[in-house]
Amino acid sequence: MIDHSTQNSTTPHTAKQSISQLTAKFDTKRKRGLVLSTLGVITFLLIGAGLLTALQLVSMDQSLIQRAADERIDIQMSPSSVTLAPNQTSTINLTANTGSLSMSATKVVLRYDSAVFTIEEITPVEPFTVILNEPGIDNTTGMATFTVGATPDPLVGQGTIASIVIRAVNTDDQARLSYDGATEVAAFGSSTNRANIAGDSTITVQPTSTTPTPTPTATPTATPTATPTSAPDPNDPSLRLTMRYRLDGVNEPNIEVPTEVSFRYTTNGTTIVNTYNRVFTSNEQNTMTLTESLLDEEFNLQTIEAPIEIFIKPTNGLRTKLRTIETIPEGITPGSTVEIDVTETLVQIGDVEHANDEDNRINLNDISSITNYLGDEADTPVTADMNPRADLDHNGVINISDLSYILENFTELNVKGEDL
Amino acid sequence: MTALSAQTKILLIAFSSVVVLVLIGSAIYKGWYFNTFSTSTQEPLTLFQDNQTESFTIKMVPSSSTAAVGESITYSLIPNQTLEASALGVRLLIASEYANQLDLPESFTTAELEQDNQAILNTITENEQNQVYADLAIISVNPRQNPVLITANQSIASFAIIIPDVDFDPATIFSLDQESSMITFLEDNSASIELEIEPVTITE
Repeated sequence: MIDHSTQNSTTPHTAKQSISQLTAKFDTKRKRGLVLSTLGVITFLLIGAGLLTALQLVSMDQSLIQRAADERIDIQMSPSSVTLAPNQTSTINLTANTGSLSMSATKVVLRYDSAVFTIEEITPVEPFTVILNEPGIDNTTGMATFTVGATPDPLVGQGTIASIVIRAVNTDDQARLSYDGATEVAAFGSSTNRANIAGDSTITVQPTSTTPTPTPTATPTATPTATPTSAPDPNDPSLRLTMRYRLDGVNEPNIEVPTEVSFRYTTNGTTIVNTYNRVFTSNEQNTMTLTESLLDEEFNLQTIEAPIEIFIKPTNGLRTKLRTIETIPEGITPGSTVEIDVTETLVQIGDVEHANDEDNRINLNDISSITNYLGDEADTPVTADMNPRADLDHNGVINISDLSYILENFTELNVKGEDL
Repeated sequence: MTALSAQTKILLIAFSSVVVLVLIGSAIYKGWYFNTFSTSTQEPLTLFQDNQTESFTIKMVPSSSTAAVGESITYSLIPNQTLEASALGVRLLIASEYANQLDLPESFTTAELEQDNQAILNTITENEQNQVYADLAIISVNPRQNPVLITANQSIASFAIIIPDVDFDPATIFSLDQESSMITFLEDNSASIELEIEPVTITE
């Protein structure tokens, strides 16, 4: 017989124990499951994060490779236009802007209309001093070729490949000196042609007899340098001047550069310097233009005696004497509006030292002002706490291009601009 | 938290893990970690925190303390301090009346300072004012990562001269252009340079 009382008394205890054991087992299993699930999720996430990072790095590499593959070296000519009298010569520079590429060599093929002008001479410019193919000039067909290599270092940034001396033919016409499509540019790390023909030069030949514009300088140049652009107002003793000059490092239009313009002349035996601070705006590569009047009412043409020396001091450049006007041309009278075109000289940049401390020289302080901003990134964006003048090419970042500009002009330890 | 279900907790842990991983990955990608910690040991030894409060001296040391007229002797430029700089520039002025007799080279012979990512200006020339000067500049193009390393008592550069047939007094012949010579640092400060020249006794 079964002792129910005993059974009844023991069953609950056993059940309770079993439930307790089951609960404990279940808890252990649940905890183990929870831990395993968590570990699984974390492992999954780690693998996922690794994959995402790998994908990001791969896509970054691809974009860098793509960017490198897309980069081109701009080749152009300077100046972009020249006006010559018959039989007059002029020099055209073939220039290159390599960006971040290292230009090692180039084969240049030039085309032109030899009925308008001829090429007299081709002179490679450093660093392109290794002549791989001697310059060949065919003034019958209007074609010139040469191939040069860079030594000891490749060209990085902006530079000149060669100087071309042209001579105007006795005609009254216009023609272009242009790069042929067969022109090639080689860069380190690349096996393809990197040339991007970015500009030619227009040569205009005007017979002297048909050029009424006075030439105000003593130096023989057919480019009008001070041209009256409106009828004079006889009641206005002042002279309204607009101006154009060429500044290194300016590669885009609409870049504003504060510029100091000075005129030095002698009146009654006393040397006088009139200085004007104006903001010039770029309208094409390297060319800065001031469209509003440069002078103020105090500049009285009637009190000025030639010669007049014209100096330019851009905010991050060296003061440069651009022109001496030996005689005031007859066409320029009080009340005239005159444009002074002093674009034949490229004004050097590199005076970037601390703000309000321009010393009109390029030295190690200026170079360090740029290099100290360079870091891990290729480009250091210009921020409010930085010296904006270190951005020599005005592209919003400080990089190796800015350094190239200053090193190009750092020909000695202390490169000084002109004193007034 | 006690009211949250196990699934919610897992999701929270997973989400937190993702956030942490993304933050770590982003920080590494942006270089924050490396910039903050890894390169901290590469801070330059800026001895001149205040502009030009201390001077940096370069000695011109001859290869021999004695020499005869007509003999070649090499002068080395030796700094007195060890430091890291953005750039170093030395302009040595050479009295023009001696320049021809010294048989000066066209440039310095630079020592091991010439490294990757460094630009060198190295000329010994005569300018339009008939001044003869020797320019040496060593410029780091990335001074934060690869500064110009200058080590005390180790030659920066050297040049050989011929002892001229005159009273040879190097202190009269050579001088430093203080205006052009300088050493610059990462903090946009610079220091002047002093020059000391060790004499050579001329033998018969």
